[in-house]
Amino acid sequence: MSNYLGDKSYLALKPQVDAGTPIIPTIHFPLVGENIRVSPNIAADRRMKGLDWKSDDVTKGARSIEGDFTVFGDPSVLGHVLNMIQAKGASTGSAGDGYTHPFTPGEGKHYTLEVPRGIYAERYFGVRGDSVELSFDEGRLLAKLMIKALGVWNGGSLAAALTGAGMTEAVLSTAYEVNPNKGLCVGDVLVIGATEVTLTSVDADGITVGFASTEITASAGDAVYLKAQTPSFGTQLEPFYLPNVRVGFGADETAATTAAGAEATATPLNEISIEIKNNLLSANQTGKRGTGALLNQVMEAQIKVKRLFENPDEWRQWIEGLGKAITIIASGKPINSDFTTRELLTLKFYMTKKIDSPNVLAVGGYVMTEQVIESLYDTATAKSLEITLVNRSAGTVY
Amino acid sequence: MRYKNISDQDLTVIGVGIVKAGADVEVAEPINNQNFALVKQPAKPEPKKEKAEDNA
Repeated sequence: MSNYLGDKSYLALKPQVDAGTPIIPTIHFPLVGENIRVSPNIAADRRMKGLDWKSDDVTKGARSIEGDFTVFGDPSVLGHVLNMIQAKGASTGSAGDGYTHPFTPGEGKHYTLEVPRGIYAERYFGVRGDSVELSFDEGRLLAKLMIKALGVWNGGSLAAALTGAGMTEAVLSTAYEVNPNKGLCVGDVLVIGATEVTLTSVDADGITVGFASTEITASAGDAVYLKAQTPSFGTQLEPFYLPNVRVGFGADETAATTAAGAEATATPLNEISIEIKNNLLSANQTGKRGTGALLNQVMEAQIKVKRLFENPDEWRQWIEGLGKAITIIASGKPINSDFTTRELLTLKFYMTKKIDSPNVLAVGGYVMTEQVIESLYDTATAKSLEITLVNRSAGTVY
Repeated sequence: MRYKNISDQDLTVIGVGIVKAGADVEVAEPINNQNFALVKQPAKPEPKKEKAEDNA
């Protein structure tokens, strides 16, 4: 029996053209961690039927597919993370100077993700970002994206036997899935029994897949799985680092951005993390095993900061409910050969107020101010949050 | 077997190395990745049968 190291896994992703059409993910990124789970909601059948034992069977419920993955917050993968959680505007720029991608609160794109587990790949499609947490671990930016998905293809079985030479199609079992071929794409490599086939069709009947004439002998009920891809990685970029982050506070966005523009005017913070939430609604629908649509609800964001206590003014601002704009600018490596453009992640919170601002004491430590800051809708500018990413990826990859 | 990197960027394939955009690479194991296309190599010509030497 073979065993498999988690280290050999990876994240493959690609934006879909629409919510319901999976695509083979061809963009590969290294993973820091992953915890995406399919819950068929299987529960013991507790109907009363004269048993002196809890149950004699289990039943399936509405399925949910959700979880998270964590990646280094580098300028390349961040583009896709943000594209899953926010609405991307028109990209500008060039290969020489870098491309600028603006993101604002709105509908993120649906993606197909693939995570291999040993020899087989689990494919999630119709994936959207529910929330993202940007934090620093030992100074390195990590992006932890909580996702929800419309569907998954993580294996199946044959509904009918394949009987030797000249097989050109397989019919998949509906024992679990209503449309068991949903999630597969032309070009996928399926393993049926011990034989590999490359799909040439995924039929509209929801159960049949086609392939070139192949000799396969397999019984009804035999396992079918999606072969893990050979990963291919583009240039590995460094994550954004805490030392290259400047945070500006100001009466409005202009003042905050000006303050963040130089080290002398930026506010030094010891720790900072940001959480942006879409609060996606998983709407179950007829004809679907589980979620039929992932819908944005009201969005929100919080910022947590830790800073050295200097004077009681922060405390006063907290209890008096004074609002401020915050601009966070993380800069990375130069893009242009003359060093005039850089990888850049800019978050502009147009209005914020502090939810909590205790001055924390600890033996042997300085007094620290630990703040939870709520991002608000700014009625003056009719804006809440704007994110801009400058990287080397043309807008066509999103 | 031979594969071509049909993407627009240089790609690192574990166990193979860096394959430049548009370049071919010879590998022992199949590459299951849509960024790479199998290069169909022309069938090798049948070796010509040599004429029996005329010793007559």
